Amino acid sequence: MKLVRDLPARFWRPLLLGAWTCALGSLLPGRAYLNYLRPEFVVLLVLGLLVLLVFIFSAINARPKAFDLDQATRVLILILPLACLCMARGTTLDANAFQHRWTGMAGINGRSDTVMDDETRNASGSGEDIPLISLCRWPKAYAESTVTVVGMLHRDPKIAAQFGANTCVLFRFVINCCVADAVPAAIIVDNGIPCDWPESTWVRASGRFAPRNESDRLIPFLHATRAKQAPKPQQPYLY
Amino acid sequence: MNAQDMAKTKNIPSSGAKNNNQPLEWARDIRVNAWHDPVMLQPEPMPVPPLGKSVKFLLALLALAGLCFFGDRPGVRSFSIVFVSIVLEALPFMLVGACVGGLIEVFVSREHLTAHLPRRPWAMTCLAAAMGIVFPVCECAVVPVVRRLTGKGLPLAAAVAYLLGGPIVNPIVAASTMLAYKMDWWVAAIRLLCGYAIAVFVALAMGRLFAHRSALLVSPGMRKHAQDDQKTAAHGIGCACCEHGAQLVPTGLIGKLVGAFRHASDDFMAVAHYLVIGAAVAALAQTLVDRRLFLGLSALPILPSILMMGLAILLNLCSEADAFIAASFRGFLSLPAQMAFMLTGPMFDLKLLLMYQTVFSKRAIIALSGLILLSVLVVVAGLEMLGMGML
Repeated sequence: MKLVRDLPARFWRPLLLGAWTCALGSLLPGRAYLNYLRPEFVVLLVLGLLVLLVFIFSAINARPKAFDLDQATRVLILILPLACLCMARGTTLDANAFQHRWTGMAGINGRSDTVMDDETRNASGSGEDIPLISLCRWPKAYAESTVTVVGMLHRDPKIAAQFGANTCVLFRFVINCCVADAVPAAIIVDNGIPCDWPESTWVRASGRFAPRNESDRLIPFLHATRAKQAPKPQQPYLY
Repeated sequence: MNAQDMAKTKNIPSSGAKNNNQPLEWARDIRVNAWHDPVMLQPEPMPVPPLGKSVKFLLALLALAGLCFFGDRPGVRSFSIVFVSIVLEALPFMLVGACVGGLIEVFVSREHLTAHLPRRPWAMTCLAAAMGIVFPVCECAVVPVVRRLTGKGLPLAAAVAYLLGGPIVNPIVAASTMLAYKMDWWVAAIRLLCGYAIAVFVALAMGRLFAHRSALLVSPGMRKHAQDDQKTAAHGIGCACCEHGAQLVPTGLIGKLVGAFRHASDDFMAVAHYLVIGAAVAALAQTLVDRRLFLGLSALPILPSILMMGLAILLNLCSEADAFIAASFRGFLSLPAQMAFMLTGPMFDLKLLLMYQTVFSKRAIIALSGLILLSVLVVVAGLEMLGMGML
């Protein structure tokens, strides 16, 4: 009986640390961590995983700690992120988050020059999808060219009032460190996208890119000629 | 029952007594006796948990149940993604910070630390505020480190200076700020200089305010206890296990490393739940607060800065990434308002407020929070008066 009573005191720490280790480990196969973090964070995750393993070893060999109501509360609190990790698996920030985070076109540092980085230039020359962030960063470089972009759909009444009833927004989130600091990169699209497509649908749109000058700011604008629903990209966020 | 109490009951000389050269043996005897002595092992009567503890437990249980039941709703999904990402981002830094704290605890002696610090308090504070240049840390990693350093006798002013200055005055933050502001080096320079000035000022003020009373969580008795314990075991002030003498760390490099990781694990477990609570509140704020609300405020003089300080406290962003968020307000808010965001976040946000509870007394936390917010406000008002316009 005493053995059963002492079990939580003996094992709550190794078990909790083990659960965290499993959770962190489960993010590595298939690069699932990219749903939350920049690719470079894999190094830190692996480091964290190793430290957690050492902590488990240390907790197993340590003298049992008391397991009272305080510790139980602590365990529940530390389980919360694991529960959220299970629920949020495979999902990404959507139009709901876009509405709360979008502060206009200034967020992505639109540049007036036409100098692109090599990666973008290669993508634009090969007929592949243009990364949406490139259209926001170098609108002049793509002006009057035919482009294809992939983004999530959002219909904003304010944008419709400003640019026309048929306009909507295609956006992707750009991560600096983690999803918490992700900033939306967005272009405005007119025509081509049926009204009945639901919010947060992934869309591949093609057409003429013609940025508009509004109050000394170039607004990325796509006159879409063709649009179709697209599967969720392998990397839903941009970096 | 701690080692000293046991020593009294068993008439064993305390660690502060003359026979310090054989402290391990008597303490080992205590441990052996403790496991075999039925009187010592007799369980104490189960105390009735106070109401506050039960309420906390129920709240945590409700939060978990709520997440499980409403997890498929869009708002809750957004919350979950942001919550997990904040925890995942901070976790490795906190683990590494805890390990550094553990290593300091075991390998750096109080005498060694004090011998290498400048004698004058102001010089020590100025040096500590700039230590982030040599040891760059973010705000999640710095708390466990400072927790251990204060236990080793680092003066309060120097500890506060490193705590506040470290996450801002460091090369990684300088680089990320420059990157966010299109390589405008002077935005980064203003941020680092203002951050350094605030860290030094707040640290010196805290040192003066708490010159005659303890700002740290531990009482002077515990400090003495830890000083004594240093000679027998590797436990010290701020030790989360706080069962001194009952569990000894073997000598030798391996033994010391084991002890360091044990301390690190204890530190991590003592601080991690504060990180989780802070991250949850931040995720809630990110899910509910509409950032466009801040855009119509640019014409007002100081209100945008105050609101941006509030936003920094709510969002709990890493000091290495917050410049990108601040930069997203360019063109809508003045540079001082953006600076208010970048200066407040690394020094004072919800998660830090909770984590400070593992280092400072409540009175000290109130003083520290007030001083930080006031200093940032004064600096930002100064920048506005200097005529720093829109970027």
